[in-house]
Amino acid sequence: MGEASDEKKAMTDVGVVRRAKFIDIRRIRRLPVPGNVLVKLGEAVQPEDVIAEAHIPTKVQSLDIARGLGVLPSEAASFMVRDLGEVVQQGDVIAQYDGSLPRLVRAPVGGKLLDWKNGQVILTSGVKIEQVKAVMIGEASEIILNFGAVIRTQGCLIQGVWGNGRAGSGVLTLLDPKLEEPLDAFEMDALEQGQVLAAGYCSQKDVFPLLVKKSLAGLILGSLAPELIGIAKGQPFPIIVLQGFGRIPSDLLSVSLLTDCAGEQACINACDRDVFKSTRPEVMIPLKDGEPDIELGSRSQLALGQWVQVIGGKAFGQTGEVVALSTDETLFESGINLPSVQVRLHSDEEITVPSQNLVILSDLYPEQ
Amino acid sequence: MVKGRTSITVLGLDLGRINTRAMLIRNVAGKYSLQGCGTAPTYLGSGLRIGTGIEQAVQNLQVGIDRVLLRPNEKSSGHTDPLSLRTDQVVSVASAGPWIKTALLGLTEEGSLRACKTLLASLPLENVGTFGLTAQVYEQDVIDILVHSQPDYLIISGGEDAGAEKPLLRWVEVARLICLLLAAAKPEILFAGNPLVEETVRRRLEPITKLHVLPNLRPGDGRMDLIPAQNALDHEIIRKWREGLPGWIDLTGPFNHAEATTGFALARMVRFLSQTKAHPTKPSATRGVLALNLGGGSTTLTAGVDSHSGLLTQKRWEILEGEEQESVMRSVHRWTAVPISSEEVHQYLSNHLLYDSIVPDNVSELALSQAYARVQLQKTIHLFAKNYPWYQGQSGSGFHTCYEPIIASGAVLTQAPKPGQAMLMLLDGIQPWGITTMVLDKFHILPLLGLIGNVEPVLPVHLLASSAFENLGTVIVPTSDAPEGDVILKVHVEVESGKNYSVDILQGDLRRLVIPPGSQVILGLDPEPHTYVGFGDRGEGGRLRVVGGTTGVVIDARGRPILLPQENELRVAKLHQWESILGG
Repeated sequence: MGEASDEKKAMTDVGVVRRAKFIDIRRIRRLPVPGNVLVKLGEAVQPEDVIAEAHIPTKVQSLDIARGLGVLPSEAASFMVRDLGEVVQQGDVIAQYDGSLPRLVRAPVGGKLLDWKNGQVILTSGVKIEQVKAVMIGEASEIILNFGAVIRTQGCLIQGVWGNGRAGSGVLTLLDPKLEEPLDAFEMDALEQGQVLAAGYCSQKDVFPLLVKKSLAGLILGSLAPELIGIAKGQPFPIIVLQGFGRIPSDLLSVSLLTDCAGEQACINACDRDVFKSTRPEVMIPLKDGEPDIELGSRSQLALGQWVQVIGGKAFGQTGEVVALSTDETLFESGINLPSVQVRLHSDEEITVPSQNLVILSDLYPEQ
Repeated sequence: MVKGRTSITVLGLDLGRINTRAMLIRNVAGKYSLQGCGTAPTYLGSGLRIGTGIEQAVQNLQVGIDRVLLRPNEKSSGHTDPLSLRTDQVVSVASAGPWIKTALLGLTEEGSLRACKTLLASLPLENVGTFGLTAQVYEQDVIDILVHSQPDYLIISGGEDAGAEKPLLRWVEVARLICLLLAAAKPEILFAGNPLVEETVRRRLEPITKLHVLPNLRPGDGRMDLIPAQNALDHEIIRKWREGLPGWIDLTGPFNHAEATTGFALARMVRFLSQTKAHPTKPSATRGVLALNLGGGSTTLTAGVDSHSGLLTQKRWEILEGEEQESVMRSVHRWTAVPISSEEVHQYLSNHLLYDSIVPDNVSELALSQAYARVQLQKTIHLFAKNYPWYQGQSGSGFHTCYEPIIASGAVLTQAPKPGQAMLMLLDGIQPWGITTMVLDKFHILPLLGLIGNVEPVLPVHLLASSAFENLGTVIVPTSDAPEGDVILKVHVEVESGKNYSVDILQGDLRRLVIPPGSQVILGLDPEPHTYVGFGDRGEGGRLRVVGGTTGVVIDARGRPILLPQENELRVAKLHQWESILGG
């Protein structure tokens, strides 16, 4: 047995950016610190409903008890009439000296007695409320004691690759049923207040003020011009990008799903991607009837017939079907040898792609 | 060696953000060598176990070696892993976990705050607030910010080994308040300041949170002593990752097991190597050692020279905005060796940052990814030199510290189609001075050696001389103020065959001497009086025995910093020319 000369790899496991017509969706809504859970098991929730909230005391002030009572700091603790941790109202007596000249120290504001040091008591008078909202329509299928709940729904799921950090919901509308034309090619007059708009591509910053004026509830884009990333982040409504930056031909599957769901209530959670929590920006559209699609998790094995998105190379962002899996490595134009698969793009062109440069969207070829 | 054994078998695990590697090191005929390496994706995320990647990597390792390392776990139950490992020793390094939120409470900007920031930048810690003496005026704001950011750790430092007790204790009270306010998610506290207040610190903080009292980060005389604090924080980071990443403990728990973050283990190895390079009488002949890793989740750089050592861990850029975006885009565009517009660079970078595992499959993306690697290296070196002023050498002394070897890892380097491309990325990114040797750590094994050395000291020595490390070649960097095209150095090459030859090196040249890998030559370096070549003062030359690397011997007389033509066509042509000189 000699020395190692190469690395033995198995790289057919890739990330999943899920797009499904009807699927069981479970999302954890959890506070970072313990608090109160405000929903009950089985309770129906709307996107704006608060699932759990925590009250964290703030606004700290120091009250000099020793000075107020005219006693030594070392003696002051014995004159306290309220204990640490107690909640006091404005004007409540918190320390009292009953000598020949009685003296009192009252709470200047309502709050909680937090700490004690050198004849001084620390009072907190504010509360920072930390909340976690549902951001989807569903029901609480599991309660996470003191932290939140798992919210469950069934329906259409369309995950994306980038979000501007906001959330919202509204009735889904499409100005262009094929999502081929740029957003600025359309008149916005037809839009109604509170709608979620799906479009193919956005390259003009001028459209954003118009959308704000229309009180748009959310924007779903196939692709976005990279120079508009900063502007998109600053918009008051959620924006989700499904395929990437730069002009990219629309994904057949997304077009089909969005077209089918036009007129339904769409919830957008345009959160950042978090690899540790497996969260991605996503659109969830609750639907009543259907046969749930299979769960693929956040990583899955590449397989024939899957619908995938290319995330590197000249076909970046384009989607297609896996038509061949190779057991050997392929030498690419870059000069690098990599495990690869054959993908038939929407345009019918077949390309060889490093398997590492793919994400799985669905286990099925989209209906046309 | 381990008591009662003549040699040990070590399984090394490297849990990276993208890939998990398993490596087996064994003693064969009296010499330790790397027997094989298996790679699998790292499984991070809800419902995934990091142990799955470990299992797959070990299974892939087994394919290449005649040995079964995984077997059914006889004690397996619903709570334990179904597989166990058969080996004497497991060492693991990790960079896969989430960065830990940390806030800093220090005093002076150039004193304790600088030490705190340097400490924080050395490990996978996310800075959620830095507050100095002046912030004590706005104490309420500081409290509000810390309550909002909910740090996992608070580092308090200041006061050298005497003095500044009052402001330091004021921070201690703020830290106490934060723990009381965030009662359900209170931070742990690391106190690394004036030891005179230690008793008070313990009395005020120990009853309410986990307190780590560490040696002062700045004990006096302007010195920084970060290693004890790095060591303590490294343990804490690993502990948090073990708790948060399912599967880690299952696979490695029952073994004699050492673990650390990848950067910390790498720095330990570099400290060890650099201690052997100090020259006892001639400071200008002292060499340092530098190692870097361009990883999927972070870039790590560590260097050591004489009694100094430093470590920098930079998180992968997740999104580029504002001035940083402009600067990175401009730099990547300038270093891209294909004609491409700045808009295309913007699009590439924006998309590239969405995913952490894209590999270049065409020439343009290869050029872009290699340009991006250069820029990452340049920015990392710049920040390292800012954090550790000793890096460049003593100011005003006329010479720069030479680092030899420079050991590099990361897929963009080790998977470069040609060794010349890896060499050029390193030269353009680091822009070293004097004489050095560039080495590729092909399997990213150096951090593991930093841990194994504690168990079996001879093992790293054997491995460093093995084919696990690819010698890219010796690099000679003559620097001079002479005009472009002037001769600045004469190189006399003495070869075993006796067919000696000489080469004139002109200012602006990049030259490659074709010396077959493994063969030895003697180089006589005869610099012009104004040329610094790494032997001491300007004009000082000498003789050097070198072993040819995969790119031979490289002489880089392009000047420091390397300047590229302004005009796009000329710039791309120049980058191509350099690449073709090095066989890229």
